[in-house]
Amino acid sequence: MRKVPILLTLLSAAIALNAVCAEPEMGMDLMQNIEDANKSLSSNIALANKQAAGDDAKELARMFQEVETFFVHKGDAANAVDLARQSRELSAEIVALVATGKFEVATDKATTLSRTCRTCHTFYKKE
Amino acid sequence: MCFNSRRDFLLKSGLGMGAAAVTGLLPGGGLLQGAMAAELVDPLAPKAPHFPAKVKSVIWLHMNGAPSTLDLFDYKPDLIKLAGQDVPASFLKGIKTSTQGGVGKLYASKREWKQHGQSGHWFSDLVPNLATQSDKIAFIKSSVTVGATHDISILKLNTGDLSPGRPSLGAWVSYALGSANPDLPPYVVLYNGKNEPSAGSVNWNSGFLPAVYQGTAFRPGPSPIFYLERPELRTEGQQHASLDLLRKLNQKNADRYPSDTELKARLRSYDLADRMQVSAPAAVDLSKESDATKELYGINDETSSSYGTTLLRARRLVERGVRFIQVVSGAPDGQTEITSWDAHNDLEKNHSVNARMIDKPIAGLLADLESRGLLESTLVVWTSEFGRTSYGQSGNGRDHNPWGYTQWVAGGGIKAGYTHGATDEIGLQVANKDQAVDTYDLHATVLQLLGLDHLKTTFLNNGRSERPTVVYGKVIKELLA
Repeated sequence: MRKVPILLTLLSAAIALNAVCAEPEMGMDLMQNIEDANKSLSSNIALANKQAAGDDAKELARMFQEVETFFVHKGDAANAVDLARQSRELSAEIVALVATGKFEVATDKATTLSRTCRTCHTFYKKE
Repeated sequence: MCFNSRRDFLLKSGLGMGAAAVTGLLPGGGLLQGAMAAELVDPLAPKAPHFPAKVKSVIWLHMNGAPSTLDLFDYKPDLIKLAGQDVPASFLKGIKTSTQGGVGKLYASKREWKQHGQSGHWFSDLVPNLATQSDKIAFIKSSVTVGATHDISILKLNTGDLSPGRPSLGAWVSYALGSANPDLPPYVVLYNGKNEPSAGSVNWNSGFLPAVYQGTAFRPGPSPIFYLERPELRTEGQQHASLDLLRKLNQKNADRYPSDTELKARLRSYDLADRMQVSAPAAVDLSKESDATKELYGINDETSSSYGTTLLRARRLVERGVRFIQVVSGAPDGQTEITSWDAHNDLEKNHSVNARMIDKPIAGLLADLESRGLLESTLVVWTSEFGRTSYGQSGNGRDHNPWGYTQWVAGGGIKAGYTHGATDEIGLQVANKDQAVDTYDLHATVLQLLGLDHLKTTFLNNGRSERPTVVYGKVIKELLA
């Protein structure tokens, strides 16, 4: 009967350890969502849709924050952290640009954002 | 305003709409935007560019199978020095080399290299004729793409995507500029060899754009389009009587339903097909070309004859106002073993045949365009789906290389003699990633020279605004004169 408390203690300890070691995850879903949002952003800027483009850019900024956090925890990926930060900042700039109707500049920024994604994929995208 | 009858009202409204459409064609004028107004009348009507164009036509030379530009244009003394050794780890950083056969030893072919012209561009002994045109060429030595199978990377080269469904660059050009010659399609695909290019018509289709903008494949031989010729059993008079009746019936319906653009497109297709029965064979008929011209294009040489014929046809199409001519390299006549540039083994033999096939014809094309005053209004693009590795494969071949290879451009608006970017010391990767030129950048630059802003060349597809460069693309300003 004494084995039960020991097992329970070990199980609790394992769960606690797991919680401590838990790292942010970055699955394919997140990357797919970023790709979808990026395409939607490009379209909404071209259509001069302030509201929708702003929403897309805000969502992208949030998702790039997740990517940045993931690579910070992963370690040994300074370049990826930097690229994710750049992408987050570009997204934030686009939010401000579309809010003031500066769609041409926003298009340029969105294109730079897409290139930043590609640069990161060159090194970090898994086959 | 008073209208006497419903018919009168429709007539005057129609004339008003026509006038609006015409004014829409004037740069910066009109009630409607150029493209929109023109489409109301005819989807292939000429449309105003966004800004003055540097060129009127593009000849897009696709080297099918991916040549090793390391053996043609990208001279790498260090590769020759290090040949036979393992690739130093530092050169492999950041790339995935699992395309086919793993990483072999560094490989150098037995080439002789020389600088040519005032530009000092390097050319190998495989392309001696092209070397004479050195000062017309601007090299892009920092080309990158997505490396996959040939068909997938060819699709990216032509449409910007790895999956079928997007319009090819030529289709975007047709959509944005319309046709400059009502008797010929604005977008023509040419190829040499017996078979249509293996990657297929998906590389010249119109994707989500209306089908009228897709490329028309001209096959080799005197009758370039399938089923274009009138059947022998039918006289010319019978055909015209039949077409006239069809036109009248269609026109009646078109009058009843003026907004039916599909019907208008169909009417135009019948008329275009009728006119093309004369104009298409005439466009590719070389019988009136001089012997000297044929010699210039290498038509008298067995290996370069079919490709030379194709390029001479391309020049004739440029003269006739065709906007975009996509030329896919095939196999020389009589050659069954080597059908593309894809030299995974025996690169020496493969590239000797292929270089001989294209060298004189392309040099001849550039010289001919210049002598006729057409080079300044034509853009020639020498391109491929990817390059080939500096490490060897199968002992004497090279694998696919999407990380750093060479393409070139020549013609109107181009800074001739310039070299953009570079590969590393062994020619494996782009040396400076900031100068990397992806497919989208090349497309954006081609469009720019045609007077089109790639960011403003848009089409609404299922509620989404699409553009030729997807979400990418940067004009390579350094290439522009």
